[in-house]
Order: sequence, then structure tokens, then C-alpha cells
Amino acid sequence: MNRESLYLELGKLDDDLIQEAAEARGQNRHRIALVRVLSAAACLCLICTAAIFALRRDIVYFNTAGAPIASKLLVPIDEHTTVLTMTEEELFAYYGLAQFPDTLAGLHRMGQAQYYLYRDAESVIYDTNILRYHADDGEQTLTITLTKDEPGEDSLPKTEKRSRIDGVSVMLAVDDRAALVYWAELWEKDVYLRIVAHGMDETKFVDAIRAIIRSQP
Amino acid sequence: MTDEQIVAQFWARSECAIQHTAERYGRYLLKIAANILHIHEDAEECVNDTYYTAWNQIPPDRPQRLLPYLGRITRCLALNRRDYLTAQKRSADFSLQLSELEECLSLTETIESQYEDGEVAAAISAFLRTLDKEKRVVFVRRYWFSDSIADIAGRFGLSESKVKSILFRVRKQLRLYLEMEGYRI
Repeated sequence: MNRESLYLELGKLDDDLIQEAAEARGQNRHRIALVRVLSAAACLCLICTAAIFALRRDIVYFNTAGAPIASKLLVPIDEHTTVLTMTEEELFAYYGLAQFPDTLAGLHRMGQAQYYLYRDAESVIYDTNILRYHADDGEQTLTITLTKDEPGEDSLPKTEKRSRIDGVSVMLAVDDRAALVYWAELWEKDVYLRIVAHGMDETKFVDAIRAIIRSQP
Repeated sequence: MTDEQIVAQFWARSECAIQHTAERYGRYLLKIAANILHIHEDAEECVNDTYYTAWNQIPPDRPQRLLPYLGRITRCLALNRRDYLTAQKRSADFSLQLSELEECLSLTETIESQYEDGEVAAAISAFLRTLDKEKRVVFVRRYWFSDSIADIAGRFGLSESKVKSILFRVRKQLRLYLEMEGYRI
């Protein structure tokens, strides 16, 4: 038998073998395509998950900087200035924020009857207000200053290293010159927030900031 | 339309049988012929001759599966046509397939052996059933459908070197199998 006659003999293979080989294409191609698509989708999911984790992962870095001094501020008022009083609900409505939690990292908010807004004939000229939290024993306090104005000169320089908590950029600082004071600055919906803590530890302070961020929809 | 219905049309001498055969299997048959002849016009003519031959053979034939039945006719016709072509016109790829098959022939036998028609094919079929499906279909695609290595690789998502490797091993195994079964081909 030579190669030509062997080739002819192969032509007499059983029908089912021929049929199987004729039909094998579609099944394999679909399976390979399916495997490739699923692999690509799995890789994409993995990359997205990793990216989300990377973005959501908190990065906490405390700069060393003197805490801002809670001094009396001069409000540029004149005879045309009017002072509006607001309730707590009106205050949050003015800033466009959701209410902060009544308790932050175990500290309770101190009740405050009124908040203030200074206006001239045309616009608001001063809107800085402070929310205060304290522990039951009075050893730990947290103050949150809110304003739509630009932060004052005692804010942290933009060159300092920023942290990221729950995806929000935050400037953290610690002042250890006398008592340990942690403080932070962040922007939430165009409102500048300065948070200053006395007597709290680092973890608790970050927990409080996280709770504030999570309170906002 | 099923094979059974098409065969019934052949038996009823309905010319629709040719049309339905062409619609269902024309592409397959053209590919088989083209793989052997590599000239489109010749391949087309070969497929038309296949329909004519089928028309003459059914009846009395009543094939259960039309694809292998028609494919065999196309294959034979293409090989006959190829014999008429000059050596210069022969397909290099098809010659390669034939030289590959030499590896399956016995190394010691020099006198042409005589076996009953289809006897060796039955042994090869039995051998192919011992293989896993991937090896089996790759072998059949290469030596029955006369597909090129590249076509087989593309069809099954394999590399060309993988296809060559499968074919090489199967040919060696086939030669051993046939020798063990007592065939000296």
C-alpha cells in the first residue's frame, strides 16, 4: 500500500467519525470564546475590585502642626449688618449638609440653642459656626467649625501631606507641643470643616471623622 | 431539512434534492475539494460532479448520513481530478499530507499487501476510537477533510505547533497499532 492508497482508504472511515469531526468546530469555538470572555470578565472584575479597594482604602497621615487658636474673630459688621439666628435644622439646611450624628466616637453633642449668620444688605458676610461634642467625663472634647468662607490663615498649608478617609481627602495634623491635640480640615459639599480634638487618641479621632463623612449622603 | 428527507427526495427523483443538498452541504464539499485541488473552479466542478454522482447512486443507495457519503464522493472525484493535473500544478500542501501518511506505512513491507476493500479503514476507525476526542477530530480533519494545519489550529483554538505535534504522535501510534493488529501496509 502506498501513501495514495492509504489516503483513499482513510476516505472509508466510519460515518460517525466523519460526522463528529464535521461538527466539532462549533462546540470548541463556542467553549473557547466563552472561556475567553469569562476570563476577561473575571480579570476586569478583579482589576475593578482592586481599584475600588485601593481607592477606598484609608490613608492616614498626621502632619505635625500647631493647632489653630480658638480666638475671637472680628466680624466686619456695620450699621447695615443684620444677625440672623438659626436653629440646628436651619443651620444644616444653610450649609446643605445632612445632620451630623448626635454621638461621634463616644462623644455626645452639646445642645446649643442658636446659631448665627451675619448678613449685609446683599449677602452673608460671616457664617462660621461651631458644633461641640464632649465625653461624659469631660476629658475629651471635639469641636467642628463650619463655614462656607475660605479657611483662615491658621489653616494647614496645601503643601502638607493629605490623608484619605472613606474616599475623602482630609488634612490631618497633630500638635504635641503641650497637650496632645489632633485636628483636621476637609471640604464637604463646598463647606469647610475644621475638626479639633482634645484628649482623644488618634484612632478615635479618625473614627469621628469617618462618622462625619459617612453621615453625608 | 433532514438527511432522511433529502434522501427521500432523491428516491422520489425530485430535483429539489440537489438544491437542498447544495444548501446544506455545498460549503463542506467545496472545502473538501478545494483542500485537495486548490483551484476554485476545479473544486466547484468537482462538487457539481458530486451532486451528479449522488443523483445516479441514490437509489439504490440509501445513506444514513449524507455528509460522509457525499464527502467520500467529493474526495474520490477530487483525487481523480488531481491525477490529471501535472506535477507542477499539484498542491504543495496536499503533497505534504500524503508524505505525512508515509509515516503510517510499514517500514519493512516492500511487497504491496492486499486487503479486502475497507478492511484497513475499519482498523483505522477502531484505532481512532481509542483516542481522546481532540486527537481523533484533528486527525480526521487533516486526513479526511484535508484541512490545512492552519485551518485546524484556527478551528480548535490550538497553536499550529500543537496540531503538528498531535498529528505526529497519532501517526506513530497508528503505525504501531496497525502492526500490532497484523496489518502490513
